[in-house]
Amino acid sequence: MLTDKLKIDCGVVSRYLIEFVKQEILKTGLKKAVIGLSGGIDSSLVAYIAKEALGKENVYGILMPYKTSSKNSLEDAMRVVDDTKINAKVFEITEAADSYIKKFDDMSNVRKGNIFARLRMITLFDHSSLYGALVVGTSNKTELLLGYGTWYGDMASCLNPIGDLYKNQIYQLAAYFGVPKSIINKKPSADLWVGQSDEEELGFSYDDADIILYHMYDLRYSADEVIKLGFEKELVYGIAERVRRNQFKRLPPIIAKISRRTINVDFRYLRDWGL
Amino acid sequence: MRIALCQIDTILGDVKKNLAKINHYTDKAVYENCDLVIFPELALTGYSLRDLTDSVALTTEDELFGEFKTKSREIDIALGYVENCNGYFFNSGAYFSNGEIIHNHRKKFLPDYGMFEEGRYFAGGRSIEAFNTKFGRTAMFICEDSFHISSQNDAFKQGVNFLIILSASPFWMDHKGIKPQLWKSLCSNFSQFSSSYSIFVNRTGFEDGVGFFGGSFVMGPYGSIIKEAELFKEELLIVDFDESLIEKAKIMMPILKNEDIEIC
Repeated sequence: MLTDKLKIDCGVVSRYLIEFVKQEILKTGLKKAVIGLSGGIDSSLVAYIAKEALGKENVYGILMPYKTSSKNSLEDAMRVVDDTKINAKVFEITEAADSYIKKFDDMSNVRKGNIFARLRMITLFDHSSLYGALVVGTSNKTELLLGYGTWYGDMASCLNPIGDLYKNQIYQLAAYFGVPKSIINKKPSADLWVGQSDEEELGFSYDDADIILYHMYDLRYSADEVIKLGFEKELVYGIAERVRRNQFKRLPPIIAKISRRTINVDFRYLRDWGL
Repeated sequence: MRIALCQIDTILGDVKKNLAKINHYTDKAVYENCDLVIFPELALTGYSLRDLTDSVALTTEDELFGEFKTKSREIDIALGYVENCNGYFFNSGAYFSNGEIIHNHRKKFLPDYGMFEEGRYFAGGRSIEAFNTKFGRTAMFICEDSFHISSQNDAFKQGVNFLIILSASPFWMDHKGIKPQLWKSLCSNFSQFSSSYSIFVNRTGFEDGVGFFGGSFVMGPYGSIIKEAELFKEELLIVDFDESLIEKAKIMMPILKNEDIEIC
């Protein structure tokens, strides 16, 4: 099985990620985390990790439904809250979103989806200021590589414990942490519009994407070598093209170099400078 | 002989705070009657220094080292720092004993692939030199030095009984295993073939998401682990050594004897 290559040692990885969240937050002088809880597997897993890292009293799960959001999503998010006993707050984005959307005669689902994602980002960062917390990100490696997320929306965070884990590996860790079955068993969805399904929208399964991405970028296989594993040429080249096209989303904005020391070009310091 | 392996986290670019922590653990090691205390690579400064490199660099004569020199009358100390030599910077390890630096090793092999940028900021050392400590013939590697067969060969041919490795080794894993295992197999081989103790001291903590895994250990001259520290957590690991094992291991497998070199 090609997915066997995605197997991780959940015991070691969970300890590592708990330390990551704990240390990378505490060293900033803060001790709390804010997480946008969608009821999906990624944010649920992050809530479990953060609870272990910081203690339930220091983790805030913010549920931010829009009027068309699925009731199941909210219920699943509440299951995570009930199980982990972290703090929770429901903050509807319907009013804010609609007052913006109604200024346009017509708006595509993608534009609306981006507006929801960015309103949620505003909500999370505002609550991080309110609580003296950092926003913990919930984008996994698969969606970061594919660019399947909103720039400065759900992709925005202060630190991200799961950004180097493929979707398949998220499932392994979620089972390890005991994330509720209803979350593990349902079809992944960004739930930005009614009936949305990640895999239908992407046009391929997460497992296929994970295997292709792992071979191409972690193991440095060429596209042709990946095709020989048994994948359609269009699928492999399509995924490679998505990764290339979305590189901008994984970086801060580019800056026109003028001086001898340009930020992030030759003015080079880590975030953890002095921390 | 008792050694303290200090797998500490460091604050990036803050020599003062790192110094305070190193002093704290040194005092603890003295209290525990240790003969030698070892700190990781770049323990005084943090690892991913980038443009901070010049601002944290010290010469071997820096007065900051005065305190270590004084303490080294009670306990030997090995630690990693950034060395400033005439405006060029080295990723160095100093060994303090009897009130002075008796050996200063400049990291010879500077990784510049994957996530590593050392080749951009540091100048490389020229050699691996064994030196005599109160425990016997010793060599000091800094992290990547260990991966080069030529370093191992240099240490082996100089007949070391103790190999000290100061490290800032980041964690990674793939479908074939986890990084800590790589270090164990590397040191196990070296220890077996050279009948020596390998002492791996690796830092902990995160720098922008890159986690240093700790997992420091002492590998005995038969190539098996004597004692090891936790993964990912700061720890002071105290290990008692049975020095007689070195000779026993040599009698069992006298590999160096058959090299075409002056061995004694």
